[in-house]
Order: sequence, then structure tokens, then C-alpha cells
Amino acid sequence: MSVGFEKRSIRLVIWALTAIALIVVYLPPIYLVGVSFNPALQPALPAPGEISLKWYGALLGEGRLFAALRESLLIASVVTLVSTVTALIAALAYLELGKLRNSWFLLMILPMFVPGIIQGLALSVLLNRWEVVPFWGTVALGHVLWAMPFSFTVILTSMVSVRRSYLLAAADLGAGWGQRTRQIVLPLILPGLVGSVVFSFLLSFNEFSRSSYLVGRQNTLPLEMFGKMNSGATPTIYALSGLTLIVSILLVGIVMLISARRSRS
Amino acid sequence: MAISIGLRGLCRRFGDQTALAPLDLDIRAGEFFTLLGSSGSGKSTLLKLIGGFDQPSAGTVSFDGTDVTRLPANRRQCNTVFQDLALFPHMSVEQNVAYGLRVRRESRADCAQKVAEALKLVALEGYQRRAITALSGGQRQRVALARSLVMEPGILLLDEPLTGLDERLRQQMRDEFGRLHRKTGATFVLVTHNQDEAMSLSDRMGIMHHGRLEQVGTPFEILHRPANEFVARFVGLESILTPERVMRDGERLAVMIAGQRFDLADYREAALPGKIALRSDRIRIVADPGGGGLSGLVTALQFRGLHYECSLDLRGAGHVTAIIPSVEMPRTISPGSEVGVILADGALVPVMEQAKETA
Repeated sequence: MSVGFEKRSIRLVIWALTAIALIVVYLPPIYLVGVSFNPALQPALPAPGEISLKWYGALLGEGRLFAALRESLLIASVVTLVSTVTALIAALAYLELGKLRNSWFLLMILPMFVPGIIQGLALSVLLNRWEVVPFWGTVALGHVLWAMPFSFTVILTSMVSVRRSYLLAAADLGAGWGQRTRQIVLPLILPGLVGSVVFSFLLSFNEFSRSSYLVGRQNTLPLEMFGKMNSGATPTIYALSGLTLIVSILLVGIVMLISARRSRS
Repeated sequence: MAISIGLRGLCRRFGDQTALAPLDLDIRAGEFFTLLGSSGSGKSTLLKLIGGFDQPSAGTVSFDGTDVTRLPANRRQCNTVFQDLALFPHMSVEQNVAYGLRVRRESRADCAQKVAEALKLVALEGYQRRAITALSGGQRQRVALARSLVMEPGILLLDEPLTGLDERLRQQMRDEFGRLHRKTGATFVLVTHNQDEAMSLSDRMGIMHHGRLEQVGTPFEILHRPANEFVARFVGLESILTPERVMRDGERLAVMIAGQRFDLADYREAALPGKIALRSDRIRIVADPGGGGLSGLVTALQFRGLHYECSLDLRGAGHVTAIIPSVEMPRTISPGSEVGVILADGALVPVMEQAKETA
């Protein structure tokens, strides 16, 4: 990339667009974090002297919200595991397939295009017919169908770094299928696996429409928050949003720090 | 220990395409054997069948007389240096070279020692901790070689490993192959489209064309008794004539070209050649059309630096190309000149394919 290659006016436009995009993306959540530190009931930015942790304190008393958070974390963890492992197996199968590759790919990403409200309804009707009582597992089932195509796509993208000749060379040096997969394929597609974990976790954590059909007695976090908003927002959900955002930013920061340190060494 | 390779009726078809027509070939233990051919000639297909990366449609592969046709690649006593080298990018030099040893579950101490020895063999001592991405093309080549050699294979397969290197490095690595072959004593099978590599390294070579093995022999045999026109052209004998007559005269071969007799000494083959190739570097031209054995018309003249490339029409006998050293080029000659053509010793090379029936 050559710095200063484009005309000054074009560069200005590019910078302006970048700034606008960043503002559009980050301003609302940051505003929300600001609101969460306002002790007043009405959502607004706190005056400098009024910053308070009042709603964060109140959060500790919100048993239902915490139960929903715990439920969502449980479901998201299970979904992440199942979706990443299944997608990995599907991607390994893709590697072995010849002419059927394209059909396999389409088959795997098809659930991505089924609207959530329809998928959720269909699953709930079927589970009802089989007399399955909805619980966290039924929600996770719906979420896996949603997250797996994304995991598959992300892992498959990273598979391009696995040249066929690497596998031939490993076989040539005596490695069987298991060793080739463990020692050559997995390390090379690690970025894809990490991507799949992040993607499927967030997709599940955020999911609303499928959850609303498949949920049991315990609400997931998005359902609980939506319910709270409808029944008159209490500022505690701002505190919860703020907390989630701060934790996510901290996590991303830590990951970036670690990878930066690793690439330096 | 070097291992011999036996191929019997080996062939490979893809649908109705024949990539490799049935062939029989024996490669001796410890031999440096080269498969020479242009792309699509089936040479890489043959190498894959030997390495176990592909299954033949028919026929057998045996190592030291034991049938290994159905043995998968990871259990064969041979190692391959791949065309793209296939070094594992996420491993250091040491991890790459030690990979096969680790798969074999050799102890850490043994691994470290053998890796050090293998790297010494390819002149890369002390490179253990380097990343693959931090190496130059030639160094990667050496690592790939070390990774195969550390396994002490009975057979080393080399799949066009020198393509993509610049000319100087290619020649340097080529000589390295010869040195490593002598040092390890293993059977080497090299696939290449470069006749210079084939000629300089091989004990014997096989020339492949359209999935067929056209000729197998020492580089000397192939250069002096090419089996057919294709082989002759492939090893650089581009000027091929159909003589008016070919006959045996004791241990000499007499060839009639443009009504003149030329003799070839020490001809002991059972059959008579159907065609004659002329070595471009053994043709000389003189300005006087009557001054040599043959006369011809210069149709094109190209300056190539150290020599001129001169296309000649031999008056009904055919077209030939002469390579004339720049310093010996008569000044007066230009395209359209009538010249005398002298065939120096060794200019005639019998092409052993039988003359086609003419009506």
C-alpha cells in the first residue's frame, strides 16, 4: 500500500467516510454506556457531577436478569462447541469431496437463508409433536442450525491455507489421516476455528426469534431484556448492556494484546 | 539401503483419457533414474503411482520384488520432494525436518541429532530455529530435501523440484542432487522437463510422451541412438532427414543424403535406422557452394551471441539448422546465399525408428 498515492481530495473523502462509519457504529453503544452511569430514571447522559454506579448496584438485585444471563451463557457455550465441531467435520468432508463439493457447500449453508421466525416455528411444532418439553437444549438446537452455516463458512475460508501438497507430504512422511488432521490441518486453520467460536457464540447470545419459539420456563437474556423494555424500561438493563459492552471490549483488548505479544516473539 | 522398483503393466486412466499407457520398467537399486517429458506426458502420474499418491487402473508396483501396489503412501519405503516443496508453513525448519521422525515416534534426542545431520548434509547447519517463511528459495529447496533424506529412504522421488528456481540456483541444486545421490546411495527417481538436468544426473533415463515411455537408456545411448523422431527432437536433435538409402558396410553404416554417401563408424545395432538426425553443432558451412559435401540455401540467419543459428535448405534432402560459432561465421553469408555444407565427425545420429511404408 502506498501512502499518499491518491489525490488529496480523494483521501479526504475516504477519511470522512471512515469517520462517519465509526461514529454510526460506535456512538449508540457508547451513548448507552454513558446512560448507564446516570442515576436518573430517564435515559440521558449524566451530568459530569452525577456519575453514579446506582444501576450497577441495582443490577445485583435483579435475580431474573442474572438467571437469563446465565441461561444465555450456557446456551451460547453449548452452541459454540457443537456448531464449531460439526462445522469442522463438515469442512474436513468438503476437503475430501470431489465433484460433490458445491452441492455439499450449498447444503451446509442453506439454514442461513431460512428466516428465524419460520425455523423457530417449524422446530417448535415438531418438538411439540414429539412431546419434547422446551428447555435450554431446544433453544440450543435452534441456535446451532443458525450458527453452524457461519462457522462452516469461516472454517472453510481458512481451509485455503491447507494446500493439498501439505497433506501429501505428511502422508509421504508416514502420517495417517488422524495425524495429518491434528498436526497439519488443525494448526493451519486455527484462525478459522477462533473465528467460528466467536461467531457462533455471538450469534447464539444475540438470537431472539428462534429463542422466542423454543424457550422453556427460563428466558434467555435477549427475551428477558425485551420483556423488561415492554413492561416499562428499568435503567438496570442499561447497566447490564453497559456491563456486557465493557466486558466484550476488555476481552477483545486482551486477545489483541496476547496475539500482538505472540507475533513479536 | 537402496531399493529397486519394478513396474509391470502399470497404467492409469481417467475416464476415457489415458494418462499412462501400460508400461513395464525396472529401476535398479541405487540408480539415478530420470523421467523426462513435457507437461502432460504422464511422468508425474507415473511418479504418483510409485509414491502411492494414486492407484493404478491396472498393473503392479513392487519395491525390491514385494508388491506394494495397494500400500498407501504413508507406509511405503520411499519419500518425495514435491514440486511446490510442501514445507509446513506453521513449523520451523527443525520441526519440518523432524516431522517424519516424530511420526515414527523416535526419541527427542535421536530426532535432534538426525535433524542436525540432515541439515549438515544440505549445508544448512544451524538453521533449526528459522521459520520457513524467512528462507530463500534455494534454502527451502534444501529443507525439503533434508526432510526427505532424514528418513533415510530407500527411494527418493523428486517431482520437478527445480522448477521455479532461477538458472544459477537451479544448476547449483542440480549438482547438489548428484552429490546427495552419491552420498546416500539411495535410488533416486527424478521427474523433469529439463533435458540438461536429465543428461547431467541420470544413470539412465526414460523419455515420456503422451503417456507412453518412448525410450529408456543411458543419456549416451539416447543421445546417440534415439529410438524415434520424438526422442531425437526432445534431446535437441532438431534437424531430421529421411535418407535416400541406408546400408550396412561391415561395422559402418552408410547413409545416402542428396546423392552423397556419408559413413558412420562403429554401427553394431541389429536394425537399420529409418531416419538420420544431424547434430546442429557438427554442421559447418563454407561460402563456396561446391566447397563441401552438400550444398544448400541459407533461409534464415539468427545471431545468438556466442553463435549463429543458421537455417539451411538442403535441396530436396530436407531442412536443417546449423549452429555456427560467431568467430567462424563467413562474413559474406546472408539469407539467400548458396553455401557448401560440411558434416563434421559425429554429425550423423541414426534415429532408430523404422522407415514408414511409402506407396
